[in-house]
Amino acid sequence: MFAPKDLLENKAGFLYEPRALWGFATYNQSSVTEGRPTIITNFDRDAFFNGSRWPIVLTHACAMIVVPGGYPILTETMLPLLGIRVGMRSGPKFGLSHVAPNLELGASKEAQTPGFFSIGPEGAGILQAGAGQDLPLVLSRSVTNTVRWEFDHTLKLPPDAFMELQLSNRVPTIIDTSTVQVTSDVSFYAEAPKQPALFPGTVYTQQQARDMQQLSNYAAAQRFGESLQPTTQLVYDPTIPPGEGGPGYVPVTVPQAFAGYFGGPAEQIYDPTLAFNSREMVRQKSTFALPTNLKGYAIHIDQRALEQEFVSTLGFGAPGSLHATTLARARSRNGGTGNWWWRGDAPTALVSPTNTPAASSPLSRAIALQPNEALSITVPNVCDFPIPAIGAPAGVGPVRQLVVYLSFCGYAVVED
Amino acid sequence: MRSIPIEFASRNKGEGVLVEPRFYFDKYDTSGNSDLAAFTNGEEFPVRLTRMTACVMPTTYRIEVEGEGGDEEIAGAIIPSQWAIANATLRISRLDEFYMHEVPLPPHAWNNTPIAAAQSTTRGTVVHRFDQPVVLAARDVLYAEFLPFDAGGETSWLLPGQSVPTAFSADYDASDLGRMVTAQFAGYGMRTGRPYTFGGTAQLTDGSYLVDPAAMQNGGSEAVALTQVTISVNHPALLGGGILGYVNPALWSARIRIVGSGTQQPWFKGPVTPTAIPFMPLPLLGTLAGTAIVHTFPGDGLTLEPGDSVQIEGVPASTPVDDGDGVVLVPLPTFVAFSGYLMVT
Repeated sequence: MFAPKDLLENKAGFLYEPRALWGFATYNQSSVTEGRPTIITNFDRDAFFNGSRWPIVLTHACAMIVVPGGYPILTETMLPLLGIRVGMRSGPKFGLSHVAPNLELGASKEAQTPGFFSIGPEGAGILQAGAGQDLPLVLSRSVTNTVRWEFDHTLKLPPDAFMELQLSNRVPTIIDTSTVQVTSDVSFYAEAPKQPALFPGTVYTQQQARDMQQLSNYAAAQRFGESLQPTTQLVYDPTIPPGEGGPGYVPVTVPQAFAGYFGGPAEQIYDPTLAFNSREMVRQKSTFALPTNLKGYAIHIDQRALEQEFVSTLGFGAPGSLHATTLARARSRNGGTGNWWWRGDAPTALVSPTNTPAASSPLSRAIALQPNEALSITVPNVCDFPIPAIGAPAGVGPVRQLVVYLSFCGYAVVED
Repeated sequence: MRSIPIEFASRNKGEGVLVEPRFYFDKYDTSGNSDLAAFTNGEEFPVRLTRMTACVMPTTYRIEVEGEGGDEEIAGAIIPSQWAIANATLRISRLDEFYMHEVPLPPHAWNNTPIAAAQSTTRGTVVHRFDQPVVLAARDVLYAEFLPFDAGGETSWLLPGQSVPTAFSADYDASDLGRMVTAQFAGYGMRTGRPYTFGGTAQLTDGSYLVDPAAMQNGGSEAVALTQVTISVNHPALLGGGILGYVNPALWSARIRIVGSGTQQPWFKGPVTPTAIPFMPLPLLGTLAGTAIVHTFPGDGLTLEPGDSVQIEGVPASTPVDDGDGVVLVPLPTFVAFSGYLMVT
């Protein structure tokens, strides 16, 4: 059993390995009665369960709302409306009421720089289109579109140990962007050695950005756990009393995921060419025989061409950051625990609490989960606010759907 | 007497009897930075570098294209989005060792310091907080000079019918343009602890735009510890209902120094050969808020002893220009600055 101090302080003899627990809840709302009747799928009961052999200390929370197609455009307006209830499973809740998951937001975690004229690698179209006018806000979202996680404690990688981080391909879009070039790359940052050195640290990185292929509709829907076929349920609506034109129930349809979207050719979620793997690190690890202290990682997606394609084709709008829909998984190999740092396939925005398009909050007091302990996180069973209809591809119609993502990030404390 | 401790970087306090900000800046291309000595500490005191900033700047271009009557030349000016820097790569080289990696990395891999101000102000504001307070002794004067981007009379081929803002454009009176830059220094009295601000708008003076030195003099009886500088830019076009894109720190360069005590040297040191650039691109100053890529060095950063030097290597940013037959990549001036402070020992 660990003493509390062992969990929070960096002590010799312990390995501190990053961990994230995450889950999602979905809201599908009727479009026939101003949208109140709603099918709500709550967070998976085991999403925030510590099933490992080691305690996990959670220091940050991230929340994000995405709409069909995976774009996090409603986080800022919808987050305050959504309540979650957090507590220990088989224990007390941390509060009596449901609270908005933007717990302790700080200043902007995303480097934003206005793009006066968007200049993509494909051509000068936007430059011409955007002359003399203030471009849409979406073009000023971020100059780098990079997510980062600076670990609470450095990760000691023993000699001969390596990192592996896999990235998914990108999701379908409402216009055909399958031939647009979107690239990603990954960097792991290492501390400088204790001995005097010319430079304060180094980085292991993919040496050139890799193309992210676009997933087919089927492959994307499968991996994102969304419905492969449209399904309809009858949901009780108290505003339609029996005998006045209806039995009090209205149909709510959960649409087929990515219906009407344009997919690409990729059927493989995780593309080997996108992975930062042991081979990359062997090639770059000049101090092969020495342990390495990793301070964090960064994942960059260059989606300028995608945004330009949206604006050129539609004349307005652009997708949100692809970090909302790009999945990742990471672990150390040949050293450390070797376990994946988070369950399943979390969007990169949820597992990068330092710099992310999600709402990221440092917790004023860390939450420690012993093995077999779990957080109980629920949303109310009733949705008392209307979900806005989001425009969808032609022929599909507007969809009232939200997916609420929540993650807690921290570290596992492992006896070395 | 109350003593006001001067300590921001706790590990560095007390390392010099006097500290002054220093920025070493230069642009680079595939053969390295333009003046290999630009990032050299040429003074007799050590310099601690704490951050690196990078940005792209406006430029003019000329492209040869095949026309009906033979080769023709198209020319224009480009005010790039800061996104354009994503095409660049760079590494720092020192004594044949490299940082952060042997292979030059793109700027987003360097960007470990978010500097976004509020959306409403980030477009035209550049803020630098000094690593250690800078002493403005009684009677000392701050000189803050600015130069706007001058397109040399070129109108932009990419922006049909519109001229890019130049210092001497017929559309705007030169004095109007000067009033569009404001400098403000904030600090506190070293005896009383009361806050002080020095600032004003720039006026056209001998070819550059200078903030009135009378407003920038410490006329009181106590020394002032300056803690940060804020530069705000605007553009006359905006006042006429217009073009927000021209509110852009990248359209300006700056030079700042203290006259009186201290070294009297300009805070920003640029390349001398082959082309001397005495004014630093303004985005490079924004280490706390602004539009540049900002990399904060871990730990104590880099220390340049007198004569020490670093170099920048990599590929500069570029932007596509359609020459009629296809897209031509036009290199953009890609600038890097190392910021920190000189420690007079």
